[in-house]
Amino acid sequence: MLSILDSHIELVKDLVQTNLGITPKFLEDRSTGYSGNVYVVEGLVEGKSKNFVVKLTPLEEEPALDLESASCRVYSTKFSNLTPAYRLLVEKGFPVAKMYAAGDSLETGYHYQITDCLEGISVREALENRSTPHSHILHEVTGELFGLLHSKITRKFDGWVSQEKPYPLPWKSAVEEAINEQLDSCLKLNSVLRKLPIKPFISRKLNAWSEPLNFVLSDIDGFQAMARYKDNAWKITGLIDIEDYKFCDQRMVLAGYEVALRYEGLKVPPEFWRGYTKHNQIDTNYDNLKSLFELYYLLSWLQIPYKGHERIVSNQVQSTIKKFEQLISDVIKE
Amino acid sequence: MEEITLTKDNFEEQVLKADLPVLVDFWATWCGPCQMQNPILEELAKEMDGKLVIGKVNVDANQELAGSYGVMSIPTLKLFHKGQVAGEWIGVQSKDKLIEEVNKLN
Repeated sequence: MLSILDSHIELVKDLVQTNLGITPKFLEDRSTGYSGNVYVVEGLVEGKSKNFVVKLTPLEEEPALDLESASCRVYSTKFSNLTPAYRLLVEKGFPVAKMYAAGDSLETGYHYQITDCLEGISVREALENRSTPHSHILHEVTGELFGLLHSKITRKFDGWVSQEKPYPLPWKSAVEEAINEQLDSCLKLNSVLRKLPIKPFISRKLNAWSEPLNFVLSDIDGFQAMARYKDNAWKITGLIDIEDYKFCDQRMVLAGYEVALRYEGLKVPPEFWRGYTKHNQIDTNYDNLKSLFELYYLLSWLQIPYKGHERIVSNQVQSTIKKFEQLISDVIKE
Repeated sequence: MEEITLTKDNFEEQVLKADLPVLVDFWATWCGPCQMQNPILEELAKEMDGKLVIGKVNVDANQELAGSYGVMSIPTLKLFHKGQVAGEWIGVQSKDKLIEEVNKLN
């Protein structure tokens, strides 16, 4: 019987052969994210060697817009969003890996996408690693591209790129409903959280709510891109995980960027904000609402170790849960 | 005192050159928190008649004006006094807090 990796290698080779007419050689498993598997293959194109990335994500039925839960609206991804998001980013001149094919492999149960292989390493992983050289420069170039993206592609309502009309429920109500959904799920799993004053915190923050006038096209929980380090400088080579790009509340995206680093015990440095504000203003209510959005992410991520994930080995489950409990406890004091 | 509807055409005259402090509410019809702020401002206008003017900017009809004052989310309240922004608050604000802020100007 084939292992998951072996079956993925077969599928990846088959997809490249079918879609690009190339017989590839398997090179590398780059599956470091929490959703989907990423593989690099090499093939000959007009006599020259070229690398391609094949990303596989489990096939999921997507709910119709009017049947989406608040949590789905606030913090989820849809494979059907990939092509419209990719086209929009290309049309607006943002660097993305060229996409050769995308679709569903019904018999194997995966969505797939085949793209160019961008040079460099994942920005998120680089920034979460304390030994990354000149990380303040990477923060600044990340901030610049992030700010540019958030200033160039906006619209009046949140949601999927191809969505033509706003959701009937206001954004604030969706966030309120979704955060309560996440909290209820966590309270069933975790007894420490039951003792924390999370509900009063949520109410207090929602009382300070303001509705954004524009929603920005962005990765839903921060920024995913590849970057190359050369000659003491960082350069973003392109945006990745394009299926995650939708119209979001700027404050939620920035909070996602901050809380991801906070999870690693790091802080977003001034260089990031300097880069960001070269192109875009930060919502004046961000400081008030940041911790509400951070709580949203933490509640959502806390459920992962309970469900089990290949990135969390079994002897780390309890320590991971404890870390989330502490972070949640800290966030609601803000 | 009645609330004044503000646009880019009357903003300078009604706000920047006004003798009394003007509390400008940047709002929109679709904004739930703005609907909560509205009756509070109506009460404030009554209580501070002769001391304060309330001005309303519909951000959908006056995007340029809202943008020029850096309004990115609503409700945003800006208190103008002698042509300058003397205070700024985002999200729903209580009547007592606004009275306190206006009284600080005198």
